[in-house]
Amino acid sequence: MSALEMRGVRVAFSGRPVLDGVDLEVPEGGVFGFIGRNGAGKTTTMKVALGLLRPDAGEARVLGERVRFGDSRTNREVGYLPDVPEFYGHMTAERYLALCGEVAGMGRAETRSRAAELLDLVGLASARGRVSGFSRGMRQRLGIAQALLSRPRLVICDEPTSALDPVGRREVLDLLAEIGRGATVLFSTHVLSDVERVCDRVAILHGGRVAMAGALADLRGARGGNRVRVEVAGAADLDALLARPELVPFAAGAERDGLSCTLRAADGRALMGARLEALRAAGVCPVSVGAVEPTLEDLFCEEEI
Amino acid sequence: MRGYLAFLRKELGEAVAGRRLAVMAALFCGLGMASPFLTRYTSEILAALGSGVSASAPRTAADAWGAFFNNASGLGLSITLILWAGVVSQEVSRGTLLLMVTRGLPRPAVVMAKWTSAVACFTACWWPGCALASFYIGTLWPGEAVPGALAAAGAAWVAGVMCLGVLVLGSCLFRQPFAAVVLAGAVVAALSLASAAGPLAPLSPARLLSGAAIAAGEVSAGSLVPPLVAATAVCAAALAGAVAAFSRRRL
Repeated sequence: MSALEMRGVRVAFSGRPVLDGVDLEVPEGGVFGFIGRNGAGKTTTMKVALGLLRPDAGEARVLGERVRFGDSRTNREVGYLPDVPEFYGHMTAERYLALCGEVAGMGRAETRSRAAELLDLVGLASARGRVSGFSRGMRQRLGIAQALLSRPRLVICDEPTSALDPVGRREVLDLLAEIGRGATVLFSTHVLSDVERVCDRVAILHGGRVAMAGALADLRGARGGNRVRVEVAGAADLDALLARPELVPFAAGAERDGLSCTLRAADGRALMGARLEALRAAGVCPVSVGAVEPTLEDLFCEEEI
Repeated sequence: MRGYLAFLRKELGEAVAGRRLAVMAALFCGLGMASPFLTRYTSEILAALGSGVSASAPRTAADAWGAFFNNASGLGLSITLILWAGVVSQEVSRGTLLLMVTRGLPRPAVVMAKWTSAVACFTACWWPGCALASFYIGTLWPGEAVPGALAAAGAAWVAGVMCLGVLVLGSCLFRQPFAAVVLAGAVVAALSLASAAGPLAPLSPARLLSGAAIAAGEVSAGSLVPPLVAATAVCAAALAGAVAAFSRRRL
């Protein structure tokens, strides 16, 4: 059973399509990264999964149960952290979590002990003041605590590291990785380094659809053969190399970096062959030549183009 | 039910912390104290100020109750509606409902808890205001009983509860708080027009706001039953509409 499954989900706002047939499957367990540029529809996708938005077509299922707009039954196993969590400012963190526990149907004693455990986990155990006095980072951490309160099987986080400083970002990512050991975490972001750091699987949303999805290692491997990097001893050698007719078909995608350059092509084998032929013909002795794995940023940018 | 009670407790706590309850209490208690004194001594005060106004015929306890109900039903209720105008819409625009709803709080429970908290605060301020008015009127007009006062107070309270129901509907329908107040005002105006003449006149809930006439005994308690039933029906319909509107609303 998948933690989250979406089939053919379409959403349009004022006639403008935002999601145009999203098919997404988030398997149980681990951390799943959901990436896309700003305005791609990541938040919209999450809102459909949470029953906060009615799709124009398609359906979503959480842990096998169909999600219905306005009905929060599927949310009993889901914890949600929005991109900017808003709380009741007149409450303390402890009181707010107590309210969340009551709303979720948890017992008072259980809520109290779980709240204390989570406030300690997120570093808010000593924060006694009202939430209105919390910093952005403290609110984010309280948001994580409330998302985990009822021990959900699926935790949905919408840009959890946005507006955090580097230390805060690292703490939140470590926390998400820890949570992913016992539950499924789906988190959206446009910070690709965050995804590479903690995610096992990733989906890229582009053009209203999931353009690419799967295990990060598999995605890299599938596209890895089409990149060749060569390093030479001097700039003149690099210029001579890139001027060779064998490399003209690939020169448009060349990325120079000092005395090395990376070329991409759909057919990696042909590219390697052309590169080696160009080196021989130019009489250039390279420092190194080899295939390279694409970074997540490479994969993302390829989909964007 | 548990979610409803938990959210209701939150609402009441917020009404206290945000001083809405304090403002309403000050308002109705102030009207309860001021109306009898102003009724009793206004002509003397004006004469002492040399305004040229001569002392008029002595005012009675019924006049004082009439003044209180006019002020409380007019100014008091209007300010109450303004204080609670954004009861749903403001929380939606702030985004604080998102985590509650995604946690499993049913949307009808949100609407009902907000209406209940508004009614509870209104009740907690209305009746002490009436009690203060009763005390001061009894002090300033000893021995002058006004048997219709309790019926007038109860009728106006029911009208207030109905207005709060319409206000919650407006707050679920519109993003702007003032639009909810306009809706409540428009409903009251329409009901007042209906009470003026025609077949619906005996049924109109606006008759419940004629506190002066009820207190003075000009309107019998029995004739208030149809408007009371109609007010209950209007309130129930408004709340049903509020639940339907909020259930469709995008958070």
